[in-house]
Amino acid sequence: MAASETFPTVRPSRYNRRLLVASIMLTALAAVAALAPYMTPFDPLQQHLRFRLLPPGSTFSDGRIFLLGTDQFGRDAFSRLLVGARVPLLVATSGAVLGGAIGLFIGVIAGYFGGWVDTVIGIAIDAQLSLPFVLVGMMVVVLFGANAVNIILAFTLLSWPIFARIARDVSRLAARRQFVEASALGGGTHWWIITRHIVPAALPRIIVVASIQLAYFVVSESAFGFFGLGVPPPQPTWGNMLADSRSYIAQAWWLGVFPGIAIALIAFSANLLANGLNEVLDAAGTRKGLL
Amino acid sequence: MLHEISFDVGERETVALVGESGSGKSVTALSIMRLLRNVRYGGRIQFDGRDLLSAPPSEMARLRGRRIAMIFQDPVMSLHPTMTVGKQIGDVLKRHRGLSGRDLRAEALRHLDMVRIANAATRYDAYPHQLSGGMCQRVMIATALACRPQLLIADEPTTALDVTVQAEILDLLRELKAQTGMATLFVTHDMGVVAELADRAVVMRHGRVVEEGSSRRVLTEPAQAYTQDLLASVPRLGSLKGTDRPQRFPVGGDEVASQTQPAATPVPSLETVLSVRGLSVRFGVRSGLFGRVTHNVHAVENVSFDIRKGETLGLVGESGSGKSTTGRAILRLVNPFAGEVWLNGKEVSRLDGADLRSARMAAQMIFQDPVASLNPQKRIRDSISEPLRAWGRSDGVDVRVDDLLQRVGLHASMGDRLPHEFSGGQRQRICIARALALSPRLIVADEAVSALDVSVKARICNLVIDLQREFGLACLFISHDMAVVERLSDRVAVMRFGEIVEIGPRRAIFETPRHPYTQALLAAVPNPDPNAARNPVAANPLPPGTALRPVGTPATTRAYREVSPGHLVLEDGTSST
Repeated sequence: MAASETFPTVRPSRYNRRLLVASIMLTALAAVAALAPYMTPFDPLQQHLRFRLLPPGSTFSDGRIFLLGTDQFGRDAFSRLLVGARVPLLVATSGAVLGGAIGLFIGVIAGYFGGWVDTVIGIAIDAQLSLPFVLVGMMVVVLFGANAVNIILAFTLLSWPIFARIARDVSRLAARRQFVEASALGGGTHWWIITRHIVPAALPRIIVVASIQLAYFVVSESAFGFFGLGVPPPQPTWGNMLADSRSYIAQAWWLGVFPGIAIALIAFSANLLANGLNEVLDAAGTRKGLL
Repeated sequence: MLHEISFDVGERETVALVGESGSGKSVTALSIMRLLRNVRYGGRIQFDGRDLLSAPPSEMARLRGRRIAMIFQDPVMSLHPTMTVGKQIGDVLKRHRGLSGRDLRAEALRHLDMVRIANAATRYDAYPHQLSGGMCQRVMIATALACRPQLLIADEPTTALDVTVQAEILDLLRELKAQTGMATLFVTHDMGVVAELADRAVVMRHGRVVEEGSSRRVLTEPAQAYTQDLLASVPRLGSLKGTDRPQRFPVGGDEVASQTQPAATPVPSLETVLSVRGLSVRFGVRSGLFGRVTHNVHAVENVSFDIRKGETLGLVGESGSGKSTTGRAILRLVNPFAGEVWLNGKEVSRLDGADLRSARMAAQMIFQDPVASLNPQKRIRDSISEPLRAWGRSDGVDVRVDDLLQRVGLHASMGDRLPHEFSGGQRQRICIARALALSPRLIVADEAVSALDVSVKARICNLVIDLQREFGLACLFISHDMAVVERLSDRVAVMRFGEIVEIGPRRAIFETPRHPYTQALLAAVPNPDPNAARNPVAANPLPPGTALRPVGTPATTRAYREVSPGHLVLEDGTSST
C-alpha cells in the first residue's frame, strides 16, 4: 500500500474584509457626527418659512443649495441629517458600553463564584429578560423625562442582562480551567484571577455582543423618537426627523427617506462589525486553542 | 502528511503501526478506510486485489464493516449513546448479513459472549453509559467482528483503558485472532503492546516509515537510530530491580549538566515536608425527586502518609481510585471531609483566605494537561512570573523568569511567545518553571507526564529528577503508569477505591508486592521485551468494588500489617465493597 496526501489548510487571514468595511463606515459616521457643526451648510435650527417643503437640490435666496430639500419649517434637511447623527450615535454607544461594562462585571461575578451568587444573579437576569424591551424603555423615559441621559439609562438598564448572561457562561468555563487553579496555587486572589484570567476570556464575546446591541440601540433610539419619546424638538435626531416626516409623506418623500437610509446604514455597519469581529475572534481562538 | 508509506498485512498477521503523536499512524489507518475528507491521495491501497483508493463510495460502504472493520481509541465515544448495545451490534448484522428477528438476537448474543461479556443476555438491552469503558470496548470489538472481517484496524484500542482492563482486552484480541484468523492492523504508541500482540512492526515518524520488520527484530535489534532512541525512552517495569533510589532515563540528554551528575539521587533527609493523617474526601451524589444527597462517593478514605525532603512518593492506582483527589485535597483544590494535612509543619486542611494563600506558597502542582494549564492569551513569561507578581514581587522578575526558563531546558528568548507556539513537552516544562517560581518545598505532579510521547516523557521525568536533586524538593508523583513510577519514586503507595492498599519502599512494592491488587496491577503492564514470558492474564482476582456508600456510613478504620520496615499492607486482603 502506498498513500501520500496533502491537507488543504485553511489559513485564517489577518485582515477580515467585513471588519475592514464596517470599521471604515463606522469611523466615517462617527467623524460626521463629531464634525457636524462645522460641516453643515445651514443652521439646522434656522427656519426659512418662505422655503418650506422644497425638494432636494432647490436653491436658497443667497444661492446656497438645499442638498436634501427642506422640511415643513423651511429648515435644511441635509444639515439636520448631519447634526441628527449625534444623538443616536452617542446614545447607542454609551448604552452599549455601559450595559456591556455592568453586564460583564455582574456576569463574571456570577460565573466565577457560582453557587448561590450565581443563582441570585441568574434569577435577576431571567426576571429582567422577561420584560418587553421597548415598553419598559419607554416607561423609563416617560417617568423620568425624555432626554439623552435617560435614554442611555434605559438602554443600560435593559441590556445588562444580555451581557451578563454571556459573560457568566464564558466565565463559568474559564473559572474551571486549570490555569485558574494554577493561578490560585501561585497566590492569585479572587480579584487577581478575575482581572487577569476571567475578564480577558469574556471580553471578546462581550465586544461582539456590544456591537450587535449598538445596531439595535440606533434603531431603538429612532423608534423612541418616532413615538415622541426621544430627545425633544427642535434638537434634530434621526428618530424625530422620521417622526415629523410622517405627516408630509405625500408632499415631501425626502424628509423620511434620508434619515431612514442613515439608520439602516448604521445598523448595517454595526452588524457587519459584529460579524467580522466574531469571525476574527473565532479564528484567533481556534489558532490559540482558546475555544 | 504522509510520504510514500508502504507496507503489507498478510492473512492471519498482526502488524503494528508504531510512532509518536503526529507521526501519521492514525492518518494511515483512516486512509485505508477512506474516512478522511478533503485529502488528496497518491499511490495505491490494495485490499484483496482491489485498489481502495479508486473504489467508488458505494463499494467502500459495502467493504466497511463487512470486510474491513475498525475500532477506535475511545469506546464510549464510538458507541451511540441512545441505542442499546444489542441494537448497535444488530444493525451491523442486519445490514451486512441480512439477519433479522430471533436469528439476529441469537447471533448478537453469541458475539457478546465471544468478547467475554458476562451475562450477555442482560447486557443486550443496556445502554453504553451503563457499561464501563472496558465493557464498551468489548462491545466495539464485538460489533467490529460481527461480520467476520478479513482485516481489523484497531486505532489505539486500549490507550484510554486502565492497565488491568487493557491486559484483558489484549488477551481477548490475541485469542480472537487465533480463532478467526483475521489480519489485524494495530495502531499504537505503546511498545509493550507491540511486543504483546504484533507479528510485525512498522515504525513511523513525520509521515514516513522509519523501520519495518518482525516485531521481535525491531524491539530487540532496532536498526535505525530513531527506533533505538524510542526504545531507550520506553519506561520498562523492573528496570530498577535491586536498587533503592530513583534513576534518570538513559536518553540523550538536553538537560542541563546531566553528564556530571551521578546516576542516582542522594538519599532524602529526615525532615518531613508533608504529613497526611486520615485524609478523607467525599462527594455527594444526589438522587430522587428533591435532589437530596443520598449517597457519598468516598473518593479518598482514611489516607495517611509522609513525604520527606528530597523524597518522591509515587501514588499509583487506576482511574477512580482517588489518587488525583488526594493530591488536590492536599493543595485544597477540593476540601477534605476529614483528616489532617501538615505541610511544612503547619496544619492546612482547615485554613481559609489569606492563611491558605500563604500556606500554598510551599506547595505547587503540575497538571496532566499542559495545554489547559497555561492561559492561551498570555505570553509564557507572564504565566511563569504570575506567582511572583501575585505576591507583589516586582524586582528581578525578568531575571528570575530567564533563570527558570533555562533551568527547565528552554531558552530565555522564548519567553515572549504564546503557549500555542510550543509543543506538549515544552509546555509541560513551562508549567514546571511556573511551579518552581515560588521555590516551593513540595511539588504535586498529577499525571504530569501521562499525556506526553515516550521520548518526551523520559526527558520530562529526567528533568523532574534533576530539579528535585538540585532543590531538595519533596514530590508527590501521581500516575497510573507503573513503569514511570518505578523510575521516579523512593516510596510507592497503591490506591484502590479511595484507600491505600499497600505502601512502602519502591523496591519492596515492585519486587515483593503483598496485596493481590498490587500484584494484579504489576502483572498487567505490557512488557516491551518480546522474550519475556507471556503469562496469560488471570481473571482479575479481586471482586469489583465501589467507593459509593449511603450517607451516614462511618469512616472505616482499617488495619495495616507491617511486612517489613515501612512496608504496610491493608489487612484482610481485599478492599471493602
